[in-house]
Formats: sequence, structure tokens, C-alpha cells
Amino acid sequence: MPANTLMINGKDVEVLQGESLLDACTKIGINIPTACHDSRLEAYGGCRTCLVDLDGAPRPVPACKTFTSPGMKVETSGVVLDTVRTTVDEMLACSSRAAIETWTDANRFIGYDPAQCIMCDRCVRYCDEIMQCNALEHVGQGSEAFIQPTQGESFLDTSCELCGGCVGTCPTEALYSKQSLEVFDKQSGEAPTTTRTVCNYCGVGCIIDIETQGNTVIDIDAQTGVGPNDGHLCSKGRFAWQFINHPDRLTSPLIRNYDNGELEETSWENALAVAAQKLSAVKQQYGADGIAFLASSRCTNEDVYALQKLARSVIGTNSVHSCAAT
Amino acid sequence: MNIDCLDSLRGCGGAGFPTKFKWNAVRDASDAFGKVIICNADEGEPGTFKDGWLFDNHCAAVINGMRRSAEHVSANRGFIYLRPEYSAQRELIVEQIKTMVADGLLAPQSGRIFQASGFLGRPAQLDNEGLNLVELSALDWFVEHGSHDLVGETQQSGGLSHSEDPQYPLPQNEEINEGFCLDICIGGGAYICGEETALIESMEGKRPQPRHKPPFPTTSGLWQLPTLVNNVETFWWAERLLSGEWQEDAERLFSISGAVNKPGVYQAPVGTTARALIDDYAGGVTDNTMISCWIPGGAATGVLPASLLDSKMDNDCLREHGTALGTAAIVVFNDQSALEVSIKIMQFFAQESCSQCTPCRIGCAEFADYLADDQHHWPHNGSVDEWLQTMELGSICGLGFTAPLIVRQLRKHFDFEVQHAS
Repeated sequence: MPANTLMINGKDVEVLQGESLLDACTKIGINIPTACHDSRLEAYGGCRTCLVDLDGAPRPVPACKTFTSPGMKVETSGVVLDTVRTTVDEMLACSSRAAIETWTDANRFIGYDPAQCIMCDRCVRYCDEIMQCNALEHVGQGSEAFIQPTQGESFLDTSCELCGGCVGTCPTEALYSKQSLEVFDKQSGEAPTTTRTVCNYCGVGCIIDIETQGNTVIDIDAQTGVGPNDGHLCSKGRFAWQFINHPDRLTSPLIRNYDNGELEETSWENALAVAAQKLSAVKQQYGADGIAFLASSRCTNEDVYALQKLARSVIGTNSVHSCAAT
Repeated sequence: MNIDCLDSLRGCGGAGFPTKFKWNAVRDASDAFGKVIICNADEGEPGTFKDGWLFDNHCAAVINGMRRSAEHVSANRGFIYLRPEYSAQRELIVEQIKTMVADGLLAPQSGRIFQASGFLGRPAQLDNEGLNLVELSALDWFVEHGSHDLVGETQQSGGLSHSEDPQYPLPQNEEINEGFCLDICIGGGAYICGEETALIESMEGKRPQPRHKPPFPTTSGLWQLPTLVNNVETFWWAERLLSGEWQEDAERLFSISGAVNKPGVYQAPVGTTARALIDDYAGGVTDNTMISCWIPGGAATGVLPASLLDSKMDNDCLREHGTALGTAAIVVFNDQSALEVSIKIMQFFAQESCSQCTPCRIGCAEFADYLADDQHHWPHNGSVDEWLQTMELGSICGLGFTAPLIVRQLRKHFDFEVQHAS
């Protein structure tokens, strides 16, 4: 791909054609603040926090939305430019005058606070460009504009998949996870900690950041540019974490008592012994191919490897499958 | 085609861009997939009603101007982007197009009516709230009755029933085999739809938010095709100049309304004084009252004091006074102060901002509050000047660039700070 040479703050920079001024600045370590920019989306240029001076342009231009061409001369700071950027920040802090206070829709996951909304359209564009769901829309004009599920319906009645990507891309707290708000204990004063790990809902291996307060999970998020998922998550990965601290969660194996039909707690040693005994009985009566093994998609590669080894070498059947294979 | 006679012609939609330059830019653009002509008839600038009047009285000439531009730039598609309130004009245009199709001047499929998109959560037609700068202004009469009430013309524009419902969306990949295909597109019903790139977005069925420029429509407009967007009056003057009907420099159509005896549309040379336009053309001020303030070229050009009525109505002279000729729409006030008028204009801008860029979205609303507040209390850390400058430099389109002018004019001509120091 041909390269462009341009000058930023008096320094020559070589960039690829098609890259924006923001990319060029990032490349040479100049930090340009942004709000409406998400590298996964098409540039929007609405928030105006990334304005820079471009030689020959009548006004400052948004670095995110201006594409590089050879010979450009750019200044990322200046008396007037700094004032404009400071003022834009002050404007962004002015809260919206939307006529609604929040959505009254029935979904349990995604909430909206227009007072925090800066109308950067990241959520709307994410839902359109990435998810192609168009479950969000930008309504109204001026400072009274706000975001709502399409046609003012409940999210559950739109094509929303509850992936929560809108919450993930929101640069403010305007879109938030309702569950997190419920679980987070503000009073305790305990600061949340973030742990990076791999989601084990399926075999994709999405990198997630689990936020915890003490022993309680309070949120799961993903970082743009990290892992195979690049900040995207599915509904389960982002929102299905309340089971971790749920009182109904199984913490020991259960064996059915055939005298009264009830499931009863037992030790792992006993559970494994019972399973081995039953499997051996089936194999004896019907042969090894009378047994098939299905691994859960939530098992790790190592778990699945161990399972197929059990199937092939201990039981002696090739009937083994993992639902993550599909 | 020689268009040297357009040298004197500047766009009549407000910005005053040289017409010849724009026509040649579209002509020189690469045309692998065709080119488009758009007549911007989304006449939304408060106080302006010359475009509606032109369709009422000179519809054929406007369309002929479009045909000439199409010939010059080699375009085979054309649209008239019409303000939704102009339903009577819509019928006249359809009739005119049908006649021209019958005469073989336009492609056979011409004359269809399409619908452009507007803003969600807003009715398709404006209720004129915010436009009502003077009680029962000429604009309101005009929208309701057509031009015959204004200038005593006998031509009746109303009375025709709507022939068809608008179609949606516009046919993007249509093949035009013969001639120039001219259709009507009913506008999205918002002030910003008159901004040429917001207009194009709205025709493409999107939220009408202005695009970032460059690229300009001359190289990448409707469906990324080179597109010529001109105002109704610009096409009319182009036709008169190119046909030789008008031999001199182009004049302007002044929409004069408010507290005058004969509000209406008047043709006069650029550079005529406002006083002459009001007294000699519009029959003087109502009841011989004193003028409290006036608007020179539509709401976006701000208010001027009565002491400047003798200034020439041209861009050089008006620029000295901090403003511009705009749409050449003079609104005269005798019962409202400059501050009262400015508050209404600012509230109108706050309501009409598309909410895409921060300076316009927040700035217009905050300044509307600032002007309307009894004490003119400014609640922000950044000064009024810093906010005005940020809107002028940091906005995306002309709405945000020019809205600060309302405040600047109050300070320049009406001692706003001295009178209203908080």
C-alpha cells in the first residue's frame, strides 16, 4: 500500500494511505483525546474533542474523520485550538435536556441515563455497523436528542440480541448494565478489582475483564484490541454471570436416591465411583459402542482432550463429540 | 456551452457561492456513473418565501434553468427538493413537468414524487413554531394562501388535489435512456434539510445530518455521484441570463415581511438600500410606526438597528456591519426589541440543531437560555467569547458557524453587555 508523508508538529511522519490523522498522531505518540471515536466503527467526527489545525483548512478539522494525504501540515496544539478543545470539553459536561429520564422497557440488562449521554452515537453505530441489528436509534434534535430502542419499543421487541456492545462502547455511563448497578455495593467503600481472563462459555476464547468487589462479581467487560473478540461479547459472556454468586448454584455432586426419588449431596469420590460402576455395567451388557461421550462447550481444550482419552482408551469407543465443534 | 454570462451570478440560497464556478466544478468531475442536479427548494430560512413565489409564477423558467445546468454538466438525473409545506407549488411543478414531458423536453418517467427522510420523533411537517418572528408574518400567509395574497398577482396556485402519495425510497440504480429525468422529492421537514449535504443525506433515506466537507457535493454528492445543488432562484437567474432575457448583472428577489404595508417578493438590484426596499417597494412601515430593529437576510443574519436602514444591501456593505445578504429576506419589526427577536432566533436554532456536533448541539441551547434569562447569567467557566469562538470554529456546518452571529450582533449594535450587565 502506498505511503503518505505528512508533517505533524513540525515532524515528518509516514503513514499508509487511508489512515486518519488520528492514526498518524497515535503512531508518533501524540495523544489526541477522543469521545465519539471507536476504532471498530466508521469515523463520526461529531464530538469535536479531537480537533487539530490543518494547514489550508478554514477551521480546525476532526483528526478521526480527516484522512491523510501527502504534504499535509498539522498542528495538534495552539492558543486558539486549546481554547476550543477546552470549551468543547465543558460543553460535553453539560447534560442533555432530553424529555425522558430513562427507558421504562422490560429488559433486565441494559439501562439508559440521558443525563450522561453526549450523543456521540457510538451505541447506535455499533448496533448498526457491527451487530447489524439496528435496535437503537437517535431521536429528536438539538440538546433534547436522546437514544432509544428502535421505535420506542422494549429492547425485547426489537431485533436486539442483548449483546451489550452498546454498553461496552459507551464512553460515559449513559448506557449501563442494570445488574452491575444492583450488585455494586457503594456503601462498603471497597474498590473493585479487575481480573483479565478467558470466557469459558464456548470455544472462541474471548478475553474478558471480570470486575469484582470482594468475592462478588459485579461486571464483565471486554477491551477493544484485546484477544480474538476485540471488545465484542455475546449476551452470555457479558451478562450471564449472576449464577456465580447465586444461592442455587451446585457446589457438590448429587446422586439420586431411588428409594425416594430425591437428589442427595455426596462426595466427589463416591460420585465418581458410582459413575464408573454404572458405565462399566453398560459396557458389559451392550459393548463399548453402547456408550457415547458429549463434552460441554464450556470445557477447556484440556478437559475435552481428557474426555476423549477416557472414551477411546478406557471405555474403547470413538463416539465422542464436543458441541463446541460445530 | 458558454456560461460566461453567469459571471455576476452568486448562489441565492444564503452562502453566495459563485454559480459559474460550481457548474464548472461539476462539469469537470468524473462522470462514470452519472451526475445529478438538485434544486434546493427546502426554503426554511425564517422570513424567506421567494422560492415558493418563483414556483407560483415562474415554474417553467426554474425548470429550464435546471435543464440548462444538466446540459452543461452532462447530468441525466434531477430532483426538486421541495419543502413539505409547499403542497400547492408541488402540484404546479408536476403539471409543468407533465407539459414538458409531452413536449419531449424531459425524460418520459419524469414527474414522480419521492419522500426524503426527516428526524425521528418530529412530525413530517413543521408547525411553524419558532418561525413566527412577527405575529402573522408574511411567511405564514404565504404558506397558507400562496403568493397572490402577497403581491397581488392573479395567478392561483392552490386548488389542485394531490395526485399521488410520495414514493420511498428514491430509485438509486435507475437507467435513464433518453433525456433529463426530473422528479420531485418532498423534504424531511426540518431547517437543517436545507443544508446541501444534510439534504443529500435525507434524500438517501438517512438522518438528515450534514456531512463533513471535503468531499464537496460537486465531486461526491447524492449516492457519491457528482452533484450540483443550487437554490431555486439561482436556477431562475441562470435561465434568464443564459436565454438572454436578462442582459444586465443579476439582481435579487427580496422577501420583505413583518411590519410593512405591502409584504411580498420584490426584484431589486443588489446594493439597493434597505430603506428604499421598505419604503419604495414594500409600501413603507405599517401605520408609519418606528422600526425597532430589522433582519437583512433571513434569521441567520441576525438583527440590525434602524440606524443602519440606509446601508446598501450587498455583501461588502453588510459585512462591515457584521452580517451578510443571506437569502435577501428583510423582516421589519416595530413592536419587538432586538433582544426579543434574537431570543426567538436562538431558540429556533437550538430546536433545529441536528445534534451531531457538540458546539452546535449544546451551544445554541445554552445561548438561547443566556439571552432569555432576565439577568443574562452565564453559568459556565469558559467565557461567552470562548463559547462563541468554539461554535464558529468547532461546528460541522453553517448552522453552528453562524448561530453565534446572533449574539455578536446584539453586542455590536445594541450594547447588549452595557444594557444587560449581570
